[in-house]
Amino acid sequence: MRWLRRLDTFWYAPLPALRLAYLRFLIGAYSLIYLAIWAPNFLNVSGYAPERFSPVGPVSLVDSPLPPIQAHLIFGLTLLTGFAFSLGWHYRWLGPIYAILLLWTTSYRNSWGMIFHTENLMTLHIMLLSVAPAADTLSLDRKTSRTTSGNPPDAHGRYGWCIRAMCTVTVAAYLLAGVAKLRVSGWAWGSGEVLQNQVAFDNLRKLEFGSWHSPLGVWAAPHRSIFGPLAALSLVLEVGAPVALLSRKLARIWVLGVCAFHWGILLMMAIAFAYPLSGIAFLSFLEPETWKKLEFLERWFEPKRNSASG
Amino acid sequence: MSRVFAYGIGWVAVAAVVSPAISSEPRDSYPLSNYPMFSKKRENPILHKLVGISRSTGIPGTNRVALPPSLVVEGSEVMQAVSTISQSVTAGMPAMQRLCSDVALRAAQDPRWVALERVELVEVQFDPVTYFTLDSKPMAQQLLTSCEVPHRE
Repeated sequence: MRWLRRLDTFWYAPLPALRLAYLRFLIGAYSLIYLAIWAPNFLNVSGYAPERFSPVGPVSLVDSPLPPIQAHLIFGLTLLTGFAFSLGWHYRWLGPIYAILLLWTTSYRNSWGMIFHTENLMTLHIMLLSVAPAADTLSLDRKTSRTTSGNPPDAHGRYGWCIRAMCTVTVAAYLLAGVAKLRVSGWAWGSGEVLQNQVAFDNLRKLEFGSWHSPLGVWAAPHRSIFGPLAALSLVLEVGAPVALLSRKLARIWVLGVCAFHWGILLMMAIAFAYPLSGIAFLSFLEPETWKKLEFLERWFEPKRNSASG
Repeated sequence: MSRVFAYGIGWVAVAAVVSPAISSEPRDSYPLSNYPMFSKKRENPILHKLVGISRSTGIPGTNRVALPPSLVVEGSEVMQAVSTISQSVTAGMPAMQRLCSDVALRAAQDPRWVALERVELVEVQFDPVTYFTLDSKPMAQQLLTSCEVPHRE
């Protein structure tokens, strides 16, 4: 039973409501900015030829593309509910609605023959946040509530489980990527040959398509010796991802490593996985509620606090 | 928020994320994936691309240019263009001709491509590393279809 207790200590850890609220606000805001920046791409898919429609996720429930007006309306609603999600307004209802609409909207964009892997984790994190009490503080719901004492709720497992689940889902995604490499290419992947081939192929394709590419990748492509250490490090970070769940120190080291790994992909292949590159994907491993630069958000959202406690 | 809910929802989410790894075939989908994109070596991959042929400059090879993704799809996403072209190739000749005509029409409407006379859809095969070490010429090349760029007024 000792392991069950340890599991419960991990999963239902009493964590601050404020941390969960910061995750809601920051990840929600990121997802909104992401949708706004890529809005033309999200909207343009409605003009694609219907034979290109290759539904994924919940979009598999429909047989053919939606009429453009309907797809655009859903995108608009996604943005609107995204604001409500980020600001924590009528969160109990609008939070889950945003998560469902975001899942639909991103799945719809991914249903035309290309998967945008930068969206998987973002959507999964929003879905988890949407069913957690992430607007108990730092939210419009809290600000407008007349029953509140003005103090943020105490740390509790009901705030902790979602943060732990977000960390576990993040770690699982990287572990899966590592396992896929091992299943397909074995430990030989770590020798660097496959990575060299991938970097060369990706840059070749971009050059052949007259598109922007990575000058560093083009320079590195002939030099096999560069790719051995990079490949080994990538495998260690992916297969070793679960260590990030063991302690805060290990989590920080892993987060730094994975951020560097994504910057490496950007520099070598000109592929931007924006969510992890921005660091937002790893906020659940950190303590954003202790960052002084974000304190203005608390002043902005919070009703006047009682001076008796903090 | 009960413990049961916290465990139920959280573990269902984790199980769902892990599920693609349990399937016998690597599964790349959305929102669940096993992220197989960089796992396999691409031996002499085949590329389908669109090439623009402009008026002859008198210098051999200078009148052929790779057409950018923005002429194939809205935006400038390479992978979206790659996917659009390969879907057309898979669909067969009518789809390839339709794509070729669409690209030619788009080029005709864009003043940057005023010198373009013809669009070709070609299949090329490369050794990716050799491309950067020895020779950037394709190992094999085949013309799939071509079309004229409509005359401008």
